[in-house]
Amino acid sequence: MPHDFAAQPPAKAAPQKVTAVTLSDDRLPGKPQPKFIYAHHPGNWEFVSEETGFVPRISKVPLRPGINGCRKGPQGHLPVLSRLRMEGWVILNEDGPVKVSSPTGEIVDDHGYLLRYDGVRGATYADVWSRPFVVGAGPSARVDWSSQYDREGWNAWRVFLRESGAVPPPSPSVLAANMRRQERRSRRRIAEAHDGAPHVQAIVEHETAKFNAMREAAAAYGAKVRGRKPQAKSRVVRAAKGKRTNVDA
Amino acid sequence: MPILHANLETDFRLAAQLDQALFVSLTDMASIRNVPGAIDFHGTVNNSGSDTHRLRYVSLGGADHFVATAAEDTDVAETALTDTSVDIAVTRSALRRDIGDLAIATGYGADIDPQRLAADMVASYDGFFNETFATTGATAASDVGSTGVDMSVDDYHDAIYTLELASVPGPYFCVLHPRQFADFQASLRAEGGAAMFAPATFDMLGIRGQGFAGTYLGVEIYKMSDVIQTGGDREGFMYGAGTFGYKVAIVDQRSMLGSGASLAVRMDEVLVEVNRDTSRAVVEIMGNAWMGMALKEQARIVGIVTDA
Repeated sequence: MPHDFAAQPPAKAAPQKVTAVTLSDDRLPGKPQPKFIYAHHPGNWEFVSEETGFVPRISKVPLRPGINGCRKGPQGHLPVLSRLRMEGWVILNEDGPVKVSSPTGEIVDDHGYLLRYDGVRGATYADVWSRPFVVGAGPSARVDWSSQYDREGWNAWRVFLRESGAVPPPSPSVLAANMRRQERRSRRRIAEAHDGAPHVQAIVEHETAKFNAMREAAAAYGAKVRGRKPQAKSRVVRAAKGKRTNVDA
Repeated sequence: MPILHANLETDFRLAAQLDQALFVSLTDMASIRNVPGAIDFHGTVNNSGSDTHRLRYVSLGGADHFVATAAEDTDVAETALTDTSVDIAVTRSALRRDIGDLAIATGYGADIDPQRLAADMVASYDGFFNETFATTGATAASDVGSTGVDMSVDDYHDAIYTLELASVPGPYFCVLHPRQFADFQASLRAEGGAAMFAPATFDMLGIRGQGFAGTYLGVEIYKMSDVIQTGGDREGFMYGAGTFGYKVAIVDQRSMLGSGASLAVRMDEVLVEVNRDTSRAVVEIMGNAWMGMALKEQARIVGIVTDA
């Protein structure tokens, strides 16, 4: 093709408008978090509130080579999962249905709990209920993963897991152990409540109310604490005021 | 007109002079690796034929008791051994730093240079080790504490009771995130009675290193920012001796064949090599380590899940 001198720009071209290039980095600071999978052990339940009742505790199982027999390579995590299954754990599918809070605060259905974020030092993995906020800038920048966490969605998902049968129902024995632990908590400082310390009274009342609520929720699964009866709140208050009571008997 | 500093900055003075001292920015230097009894070292996988080793457990040591026979001549049935195993897979971790010749040449007396970067590799490995440890501990099958509720002395007691009910032998160690430890301290303020928190004194810190926070009810407490987060909560844990184990691979002289001009220094479990890239006039400092860790027995550990 012959050279076309006429098509060349003049030596001093007129200034052209260009878009200013702004250097921005929306990658997350801090250390990367490894890929993980959620799992539930049948012996691990907790009582959150009267509304939710007992819900399965969920453990984060890291799928990082070098931890708990996880090997390198695409199938390196399989030995970890097979061992967990052998020990009775329920592996929760990362693509399965989940419950999350909508911007208006309603619990809505979604799918998949694992999210991948780009990080300054590599990919980081978190669940759908995490709402990362970058605090600060430069070398002191950090990610706040917890303060805006969608607890309502997280708890709604755990209730869903229980009610949908994704995890087996809790054993009465496991719930009874939980209740015995809670009963100890409610009784541990009852003697100090007798002395009238208001903060201790509040603690004892809270723990006792939780114990009573746990008993009601556990009854649906046939669990009970042997030889104990629920304590009426008024009796606890009397105890706190220093009157004779059989709460600690 | 007086000679003012402001007027001299163009040709005679500097806007800012770099201080001679070089400080390390704030970082969590907690290390559990050298705490006696906190984690079991199971040796190397060298010359073993595999990068994965299986730790074998069997029901000996009195797990199966004698039984009283019904009669003097009762035919006693055989009691089978119960066995289980845990795998530890050794994998590679690494850190590389490059520094240019001119950057080295223009440095001060106390500055970043290949020697300092190489010496720092062990600290970086310790950070990785701790991170691995905290992540491994989060897979406890049994937890105490309440979702979304600050850690309290009650949670601490629950953890001890859980271990004691399972007849876990001591000593016990408690690993908490700084948030959990702060909440624990706040709860501790409202405590009465004979139980007393013994904070880490200077002497104790010297022996155990950063991260040791003190002792409460005979349990040593370690504070680590690597404790992971699940469900908006932190997953600390308390455990007894024999819960965790790790193995390493250590390179030997065979790997050094053909390393040419590079300088290799084996620092503890870390191999540090310094290599010159002459065409780029850059010194490459490479740290390599091969390590695997496992939570060996679930019965020996309890998770402490409290608000983050």
